Amino acid sequence: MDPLHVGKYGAYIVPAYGISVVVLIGLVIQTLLAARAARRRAEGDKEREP
Amino acid sequence: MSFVATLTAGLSNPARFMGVSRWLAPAFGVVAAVSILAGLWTGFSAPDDYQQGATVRIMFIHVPAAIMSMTAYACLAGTSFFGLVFRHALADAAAKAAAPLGAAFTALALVTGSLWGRPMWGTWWVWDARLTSELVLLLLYLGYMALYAALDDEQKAARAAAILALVGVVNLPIIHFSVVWWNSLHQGETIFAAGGSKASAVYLLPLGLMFLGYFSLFAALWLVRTRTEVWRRKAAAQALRAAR
Repeated sequence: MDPLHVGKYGAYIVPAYGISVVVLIGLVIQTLLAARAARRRAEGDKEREP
Repeated sequence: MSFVATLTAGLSNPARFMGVSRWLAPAFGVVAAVSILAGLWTGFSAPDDYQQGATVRIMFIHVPAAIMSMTAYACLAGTSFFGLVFRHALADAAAKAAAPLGAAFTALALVTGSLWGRPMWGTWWVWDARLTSELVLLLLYLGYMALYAALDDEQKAARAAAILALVGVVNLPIIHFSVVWWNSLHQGETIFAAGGSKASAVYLLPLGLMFLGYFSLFAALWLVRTRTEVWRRKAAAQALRAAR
């Protein structure tokens, strides 16, 4: 079974893509959460703070 | 006035920036998602390279990350220049917002390059001019963020960090031309080679899609992070007024 066609180099290709996906999705989540928190603080809506 | 000049003039006004970036950021986000998914699909459908085998697929994420590491630094330095010379608060905010993104792309370029180098070169790392100058770029990003965080006075922090960012610009041509100026284990210019790309045509589509995706992702995140910085400063100013 080699659905990604990575052959014998899977041990290098899979971590490369895995790390990239984790870092980029992590950046997106962190950016959106920080934006939401900053917007709430700027609008003075303290009640909805997590 | 050209489109770029109009956009620049519009974005330099904080109120207009918040209005434009409100729809521009999600638009870049959609382009990023579609391009990256299409890039992954075409990348994993592409045939193995006759020399690199399947590891050529690492190039589809390594090359865009490496290009974005330098593009983000150019954005950081450009906005730092405007912040330093024109004392533009929005430019300072944009510079500060670009640094973590650039650091992330640089780290990804180094890690994915290392994961490609092990099977192809037989080593995870060499103190090669291209690799070393890219590592210096990561240290510049980390130094910029550390300097910004180390000073309590935000204006002084922005000024000091901007000077560091501008000094670091000298590293960009070093990275780009390192494979020309010195004998290097890293392959020479491929995508932007004089006389046209040396990459096989079958790999240009996934590379182009992934680059478009990475660039759009950076643009979307940069806009959102700059908006965050504007909100954070607004909240800090409100807190200061309330305390008086």
